[in-house]
Amino acid sequence: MQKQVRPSPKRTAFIASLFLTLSLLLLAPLPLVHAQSAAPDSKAIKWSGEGLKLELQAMPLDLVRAFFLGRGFAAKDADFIAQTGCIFRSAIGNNGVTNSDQPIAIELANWRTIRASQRQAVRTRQDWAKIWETRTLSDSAKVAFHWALFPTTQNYQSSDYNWGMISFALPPGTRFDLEVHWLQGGVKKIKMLKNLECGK
Amino acid sequence: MIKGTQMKPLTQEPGADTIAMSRRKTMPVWSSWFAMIMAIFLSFSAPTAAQAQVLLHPSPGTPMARDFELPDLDGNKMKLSDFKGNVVVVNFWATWCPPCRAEIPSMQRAWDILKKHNVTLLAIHVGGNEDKIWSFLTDFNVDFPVLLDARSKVSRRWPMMGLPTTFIVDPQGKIALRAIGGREWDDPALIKTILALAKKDQ
Repeated sequence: MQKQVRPSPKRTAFIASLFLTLSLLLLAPLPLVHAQSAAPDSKAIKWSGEGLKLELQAMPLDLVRAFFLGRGFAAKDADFIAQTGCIFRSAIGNNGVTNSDQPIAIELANWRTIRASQRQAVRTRQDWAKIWETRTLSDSAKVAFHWALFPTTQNYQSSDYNWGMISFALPPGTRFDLEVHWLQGGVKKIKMLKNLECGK
Repeated sequence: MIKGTQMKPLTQEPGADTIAMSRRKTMPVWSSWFAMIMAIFLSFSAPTAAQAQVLLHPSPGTPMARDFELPDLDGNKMKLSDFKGNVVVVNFWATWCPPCRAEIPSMQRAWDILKKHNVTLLAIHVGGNEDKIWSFLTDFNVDFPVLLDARSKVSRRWPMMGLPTTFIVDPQGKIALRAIGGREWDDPALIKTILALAKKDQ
């Protein structure tokens, strides 16, 4: 019943050398092309309270490009995500401390970025899916993109969490505040996170 | 529901785990590159072992698990229904998902225990790229069955929204328990709960 997952040494060596070559080909041009957009020393924003635990960190543009190139995206599409997505990596879930018997619910579509009094919704998986309809993406890229993004809706019991990217659809380097919404035991909660900055 | 003390909370550092383990082995250059990206990508903080947390929760509605037929890395097809009557741990993961990578070593340790008790573990990789999966699994000496859901047809039909998510299917084929996010799968309390499901049916 149990299968042994043991590739032959010959196959492993071939795969390693193939992947090394591809990785070098993919990565080599990046520092030259994008040398002016050095990664900022972005610190992770961490917050925990009222059932929610959250970590957010802006991803530098080169890292966003590298991640999606590695997932089968064409260079133009990886660059499109980097330039328009304002991608943050995130880990969000139930903090297991405050009323930990009560599940929390997150609806990403309710979150708002605020800059110069302008409120804007998060770009969710569903929003991105509409964008991809107008561009040609491989099936593998579509699958990777869907699962790389943070879920739009999710319920979390204590110790549950999700990992994923959140897209704020703002230009690189934009500073903004973020209104975070969630429910704990059906009760609405809001937390304002100040002075976030998109990667550049 | 079970409680344990070894759960990796939200602010775990899966990237750091992966790198530490990777450095103990002779790894190809590309793996270091990938580990570096993952480390920057996600840097959770260390777990709080003192905090007792519930690790597995009843699956809402205890639905019947949808059957699937998927190929393993050699192309041999496996069905969930082949294991009816057994407890089956179904884990959805991807090589590029940091918490998924972080939980694989503990999953292998759990598998070493569970397989002696007629419990099956099926790890379903969401998305393709067999070569990357092969090399990743080799690094961690994984020998539990890994199936490919290249087009995400199965993962989109199961009640899950993100990776990793793990379901415990009882011998009747119902999804009894689930875990959203990574876990330390060899946590004794967690193993005990899985084995209790198997014993319940005897």
